[in-house]
Amino acid sequence: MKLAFEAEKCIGCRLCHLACSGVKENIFNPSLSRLKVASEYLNGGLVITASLCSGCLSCAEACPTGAISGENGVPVVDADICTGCGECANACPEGVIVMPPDGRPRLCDFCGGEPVCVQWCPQGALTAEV
Amino acid sequence: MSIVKVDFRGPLTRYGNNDGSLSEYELPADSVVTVQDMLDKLGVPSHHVGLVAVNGQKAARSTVLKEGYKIILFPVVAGG
Amino acid sequence: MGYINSVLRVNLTTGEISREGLNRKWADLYYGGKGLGIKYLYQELEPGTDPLSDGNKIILLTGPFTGTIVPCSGKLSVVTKSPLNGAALDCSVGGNIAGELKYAGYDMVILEGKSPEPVYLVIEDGEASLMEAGFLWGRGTLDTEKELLKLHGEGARVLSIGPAGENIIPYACLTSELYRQAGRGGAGAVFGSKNIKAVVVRGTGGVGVADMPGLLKAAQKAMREDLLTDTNLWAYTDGTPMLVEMSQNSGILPTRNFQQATFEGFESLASPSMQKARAGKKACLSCGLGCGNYTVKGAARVEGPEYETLSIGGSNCGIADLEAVVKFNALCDDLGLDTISMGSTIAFAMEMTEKGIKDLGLRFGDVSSYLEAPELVAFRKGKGMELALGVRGLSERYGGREFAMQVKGLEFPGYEPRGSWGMGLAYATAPRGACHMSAWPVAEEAYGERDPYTVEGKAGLVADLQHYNALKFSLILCDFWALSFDLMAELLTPILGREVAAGELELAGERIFNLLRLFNTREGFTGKDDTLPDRIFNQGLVGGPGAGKILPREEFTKMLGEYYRLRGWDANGIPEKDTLIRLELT
Repeated sequence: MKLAFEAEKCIGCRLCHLACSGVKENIFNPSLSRLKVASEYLNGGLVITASLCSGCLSCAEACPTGAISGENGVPVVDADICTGCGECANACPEGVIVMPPDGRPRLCDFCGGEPVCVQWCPQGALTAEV
Repeated sequence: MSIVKVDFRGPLTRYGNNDGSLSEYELPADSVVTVQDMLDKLGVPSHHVGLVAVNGQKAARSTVLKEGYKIILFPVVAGG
Repeated sequence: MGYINSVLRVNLTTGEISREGLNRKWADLYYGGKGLGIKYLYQELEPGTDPLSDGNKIILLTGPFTGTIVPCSGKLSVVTKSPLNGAALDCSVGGNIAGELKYAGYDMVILEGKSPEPVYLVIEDGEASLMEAGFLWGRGTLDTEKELLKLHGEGARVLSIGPAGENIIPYACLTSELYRQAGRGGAGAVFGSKNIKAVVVRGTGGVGVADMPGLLKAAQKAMREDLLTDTNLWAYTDGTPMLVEMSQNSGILPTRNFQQATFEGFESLASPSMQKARAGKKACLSCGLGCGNYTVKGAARVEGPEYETLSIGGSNCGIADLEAVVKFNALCDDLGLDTISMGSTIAFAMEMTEKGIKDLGLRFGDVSSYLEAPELVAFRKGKGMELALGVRGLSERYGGREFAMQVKGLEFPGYEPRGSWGMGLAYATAPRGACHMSAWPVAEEAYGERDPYTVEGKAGLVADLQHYNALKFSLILCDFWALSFDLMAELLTPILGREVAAGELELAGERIFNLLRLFNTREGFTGKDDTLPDRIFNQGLVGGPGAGKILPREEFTKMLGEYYRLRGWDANGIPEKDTLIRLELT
């Protein structure tokens, strides 16, 4: 599974952030969302960017305790082994692993095949590729 | 052949030709055709149509169309 | 749930910053935004307070939907006493700052007093502090925002004033994310009078709701089945520029200071022209529609112009040049001026010249003097000193009151009342003056199938729309989502964790509207202020579908009388005791 993003369709509403945090964290908090989409006026133009988990599993490779395993490109954290060191977040090339103060890394798991960010994207900018 | 030109605005453009803008509509001969008749023929849901302009002026659903008329269909709007 | 239950109070005179609980009783009756803001203002402000004195307060508010996934809930509400007219003022600004305020741990911020030095307020995850702002003074909003983001990080959100606010222009606005404004009524001048340049907000907290699965389900359904439908998607495909052509065709497009209601140059300002210049789409937090059009035309760029600017700053000034209007819009945004009041004031000055009353160097259709005006006003230079008075002030100084297009000192927005008689009533009775956000009957009259040239049924229509908008802007949902009270209740129930009924919301809308009336009554406004400029009553429209039309004064008076009766107000427009009891306003 992979997430795809078409910048020209994105209106920057961040419903994806709200859906991700609402479903995964039971609270609406964009800073805890496991993807980052931004639409900002920079350098005299409207710049739209997205960082999404690519399923590369660099996080699993970087984990010193082996707490992250990867199945079919979907990272899974074993909370009992995880020490909250943050190496996974440092290693993530997309920068989408959130390390909140509670020390538990938040990794995108593609919501078990039905990503809520895609479900909530109002303009079809985010899609899921199987 | 009697032809009127129809322009669509907003989400209604999907009822027009390819890019949604200008379409032509042929008036059937020997019958009176109103704006409402044309909407029905084109399959445009009436409740999604707000303002109808005929030749640059607001018209009614009952306005009778004649050859060469220019019609613009606007969606229902809220806010401002 | 839905609320953070925390209010930030900043005394700019002493620098004291405190946190207090949200008044839950008031939140139950007024919800948030506009309604809750006016309740706080009504309770806390001394009657007769000079809006530009340290006694005035300015309140920034969120609502129960803010920061949640409920679509179109991204706007921030601003409530204060207007320096333009001394009436209750509420306006709102889009972008992301409202959500950010809640993520930073506050439902609302009350700014009071007056700082001895220029300052800006920083709110970061519950902590708030005042910072020295001398280095920002005199700078435009674009530059100010860029500088503040450099200092406080890219994720922060900024609300700021430009030179117009600093120089206390009575129609100065507040700007956020470069191009979004709390535009009308002079909120920017209140900031300027208090020596506060900006508010910077950054939050990493969250907003909890009582029933998350219930809300996700209700909101997803609402978005798919009610929001993203042919009733609302015009906001995405076109946005408000679509109204230019609609107003032209129905004969309500303000032209040359409301002398005409059709404009021969309308096509260059209409949506098809705007679409050719479109360089992107932008939404506020949680909005699925994304009405914002990023426009690049020649050397000019702006998010906009919206219909109000295209009409009042375009056709109403006789300007048919889109690039000029984009430039005008960008200038006003950066200087911190409301494009509606600025455009209306320029148009009035143009007609003063035409009528030989006073020549301020402005002529209908002359682009260069039109584009010079905003800067002269913002810095109070040359003729800008005069234009800063606004339409009412200018007419009081030089004459031309009969064509001074304003109500209660607030300049007309972009709809001609002689072509939409209910809109005339809406302008006359809106608490802040001639305003299109209190009620928008044009949708049914001019753009719909209701007869625009009758007063029959209009009193009830306007009153209902006023309740609807008052409530919607208290929950804080965007104008462009035409959702029902029932749907609002369905969305609010899982947030608050108690069954909300549509009737309760409608009643609250009426309560809020009446409280605004009580505020204005306390400030000395009476039924006499609920009127329109003479032009509307006795000068026929020139050309177009409404050629020759007036709104006859006796018809207007009849409609206003019916409106008072329906509302339970006396003949002077003051709410009767029974009305106040029914609305829990005693």
